[in-house]
Amino acid sequence: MAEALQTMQDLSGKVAGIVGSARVFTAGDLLDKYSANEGCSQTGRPDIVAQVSSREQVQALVRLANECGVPVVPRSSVTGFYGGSVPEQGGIVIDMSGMKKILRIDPKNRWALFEPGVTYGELQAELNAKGMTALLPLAPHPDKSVITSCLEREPKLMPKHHLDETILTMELVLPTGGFFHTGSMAVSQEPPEKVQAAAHTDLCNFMGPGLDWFRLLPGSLGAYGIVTAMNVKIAVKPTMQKLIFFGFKNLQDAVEPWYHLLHKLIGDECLLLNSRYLALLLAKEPGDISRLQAGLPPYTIILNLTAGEHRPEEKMAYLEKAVQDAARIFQLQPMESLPHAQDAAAALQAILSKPWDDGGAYWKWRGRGASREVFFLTQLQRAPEFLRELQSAAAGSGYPISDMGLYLQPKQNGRAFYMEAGFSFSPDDPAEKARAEQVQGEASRGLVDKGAFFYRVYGPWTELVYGRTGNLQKTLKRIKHTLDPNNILNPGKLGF
Amino acid sequence: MAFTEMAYKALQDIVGSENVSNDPAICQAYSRVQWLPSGVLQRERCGLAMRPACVVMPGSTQEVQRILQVANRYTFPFVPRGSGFTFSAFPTLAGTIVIDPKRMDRIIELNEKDMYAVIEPYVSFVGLQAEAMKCGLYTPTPLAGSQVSCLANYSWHGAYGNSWITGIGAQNLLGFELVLPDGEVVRSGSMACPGAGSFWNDGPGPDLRGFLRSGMFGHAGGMGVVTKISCKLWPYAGPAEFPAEGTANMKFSSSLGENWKWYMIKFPLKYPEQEEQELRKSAELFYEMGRAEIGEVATHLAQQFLYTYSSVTKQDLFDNMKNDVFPSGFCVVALQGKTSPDQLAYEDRVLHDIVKKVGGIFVKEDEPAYQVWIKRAANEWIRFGNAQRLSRASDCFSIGSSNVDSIDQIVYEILESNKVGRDLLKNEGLGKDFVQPLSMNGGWISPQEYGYWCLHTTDVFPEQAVDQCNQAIEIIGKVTKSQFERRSAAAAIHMIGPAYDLFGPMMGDVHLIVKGLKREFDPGNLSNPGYATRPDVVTPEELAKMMGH
Repeated sequence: MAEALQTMQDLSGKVAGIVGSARVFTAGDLLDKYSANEGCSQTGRPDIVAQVSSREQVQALVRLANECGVPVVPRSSVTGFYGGSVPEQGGIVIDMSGMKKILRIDPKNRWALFEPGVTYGELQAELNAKGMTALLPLAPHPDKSVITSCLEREPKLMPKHHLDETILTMELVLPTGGFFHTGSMAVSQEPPEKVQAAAHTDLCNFMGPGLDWFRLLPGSLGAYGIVTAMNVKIAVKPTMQKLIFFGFKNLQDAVEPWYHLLHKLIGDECLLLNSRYLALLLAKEPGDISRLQAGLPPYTIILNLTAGEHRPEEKMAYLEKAVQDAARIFQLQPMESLPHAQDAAAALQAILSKPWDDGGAYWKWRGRGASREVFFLTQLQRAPEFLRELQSAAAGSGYPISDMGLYLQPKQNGRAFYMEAGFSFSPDDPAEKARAEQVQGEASRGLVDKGAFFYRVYGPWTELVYGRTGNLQKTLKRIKHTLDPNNILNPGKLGF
Repeated sequence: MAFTEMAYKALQDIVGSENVSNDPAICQAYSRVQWLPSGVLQRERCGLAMRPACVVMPGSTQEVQRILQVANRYTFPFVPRGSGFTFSAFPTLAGTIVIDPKRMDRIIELNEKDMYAVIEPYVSFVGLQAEAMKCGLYTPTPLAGSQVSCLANYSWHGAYGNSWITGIGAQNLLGFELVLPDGEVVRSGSMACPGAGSFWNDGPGPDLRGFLRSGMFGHAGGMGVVTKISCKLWPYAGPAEFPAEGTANMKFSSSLGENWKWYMIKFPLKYPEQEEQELRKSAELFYEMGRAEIGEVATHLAQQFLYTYSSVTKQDLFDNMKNDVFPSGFCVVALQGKTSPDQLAYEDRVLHDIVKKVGGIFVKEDEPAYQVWIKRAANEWIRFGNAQRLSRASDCFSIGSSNVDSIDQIVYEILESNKVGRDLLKNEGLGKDFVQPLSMNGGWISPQEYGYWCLHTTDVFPEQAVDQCNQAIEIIGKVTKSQFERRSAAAAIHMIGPAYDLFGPMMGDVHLIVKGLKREFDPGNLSNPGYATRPDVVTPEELAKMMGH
């Protein structure tokens, strides 16, 4: 440590020297906001919050933190969910939610380059104007940073080929304070938006140099570097689309037909929701949720057929015929609307094409005001087994199974499925909250025991998961030690 | 400490004396790669000195682990090997042992529903492909040839002729099991969690594939021994048993059934005078196909690739050249009806629209190019990859330049690096004795993931002669130098061996990061020393020597 820290005042003064005194917070309610996330119970208070507006400020803060031996926690979304940006050891929260520049959109090569504070709504507005669309997760929170979402590996609605890996190139501030460019951005050390003027690159190579950073960074919760700019894949907006529904009384019945649809590459966006989650998304008013839920199929596959610029009617025709063929094979009835929700197709098409913007509570919280979630990856054929485990944990904790939301999202043409269960509760009722957290904990332990793959590791899952993975956590720690010898970036978050 | 008799006995104890050998005749076979100019020069420079101290064949991860523990005890270097196709599979220091995984050749799992396989290091593409096709699945096939190790290919980067949708090998790697240089075993992806299965790639937490691999080369055995991987398989609508006619070298497949359709596309331009326009038109075609998301294969092949890949004998190669079978480069496209025959019919109509829009012409069935390529060679891209045939022209070849970026940047780089090559030929006579006109023109454009990105190679064809191979190395060096001077995206893909020390300072000091990891995980520099980098920072004097000053 080059310089021993004397007082908090010293440090906040130095931080103010970097970002301006108006953007530094050391006390008061604002620090409370950075001490917790909406979807978890973990709390941890930062000493200082610095709201940055530029890459240079991020770099200067990381350098200062190294000089002073103070932890740094990066944060890009205004609203956090799982505790990734809640400090474990105090220190400085670098709030990048104000870095909102969309630096470049390249429709020809299908990518967009932007800063950490850009939300899906802001990006989608720009892309819409160019006939393009972001690769969206399911109705993300309006505050959600696109970069955070990519780094957290939230599942995308489109399960095609390699679209689960959307990151192309990045600019990082390394834990020791240097700027570092990944992939083909590495050929120039100019700021990201100037790289193409300085070098012959279109920022399309995501690999290297030295490591495959586009893979190592996601899931690290900011422990290996802070991303200050990223370009990600985008897609051409369809010219025609049609939503198809398949309803099922139980999840097991959906398995074979869904494998068939995915292996035949029928449609683009594709997901399954239970009646609870579907009602939360579709209800026009919170008061409609129960009524709507009661009328919906217990489980619904939602499949969006799309066509682009070339012969769209002909493409839709062969896709619809393929859907009919699948329906015949599995004796299913494809629907263009849902019982008690005749406008479901139009409403869902809108929901699937943008972040949640209903103006009221976030959709997962509409039921009772808050929720706790359990999510993991599995093979589809094992999903019914894991559903039983979730239901068993809910029953064991006295949680009403009818209030449990369920979402399955295929990835890589159905090679894997993201499976999420949501347990809503009233945040004003401590008993309800305790019950939701109990079922979350019970379900997590039971699922891990049975082989559910918790690919994203937050809070209490850290020990639960890494305790079973042999040398994995130790190896991750050795990498951390090499990249971050002073243990500055988000210490403790990966369990070290 | 060098490799000793005690170490040899310890290895015998681990794998059994029948699975370890220091017989000079056997070790000689593991001494160098023959088809690359660098291998030819190594033979000249080192003679027999690079023969490994012994070859050991473990049968399990536990045996690999124990071998590495012995290597650490007696401090001798080891080279992990797949099928031994490329330069990093051969020793660079005396006293090195080679770990040959021939006994680890099991397809442990082939999951039809979830489209993945779990394999050991000596499973070849041809073995995996044959089993996958029986289940309606397939894997892209490496140009390196279907005899190569899938595991090694995926851990390296793996370039394929049919990767328009599937991407390269690195993208098809799911989980892995790695014995680190110090003998510790680590698993990544869902394979790391007991009972979870091997279907998924990233997590828990950070994706350790980012540590195992880097850029276009991976660590090339410099970070331990990969003993197991899971890999992606893709929907396949062709026949369950690959159709083949003829025997031996003349074996070919004229049809993959009604769900596959091949096309060759050319442009009405004069070649090579209008090569730039031809490449730009090809790029336009691929961009349009990408936006439309049609096709299973989409690639552009320059003359040298068409001639060499399609030749079944050396005589055949030169006959085809003499008859001008491929008067220019061509785009090669395949459609696959995975959804239904209607999908194929739809994509056929869209392809015709696009080809018309970009001013292309479909090569007719009665044209020699179609007869030679589509009827004889195209389907072999699905079965065995063809690239061994690259060495048919001169028994030796090397990539002259390569790049990874957008399709447009690939075209730029092919034109620029060929210009450097042609200038060297004209002004310094470099490459004048290579097989021409196969060297110095055109390139292979290989767009990936519906054109989100692209890679290319140009190749040179020296004979296995020291003088010619020295010229090839000089050409490659000067092309690479020009890439850095031009600030080409290609500069970012060269990170392996001394390139770290040479170019790392230009790229955020990445060499210091990688050397730091090497020191952390392999402080004794035992795991394939030289690949990907050595642990210490090279002195300015050594650096100057590397650069030829």
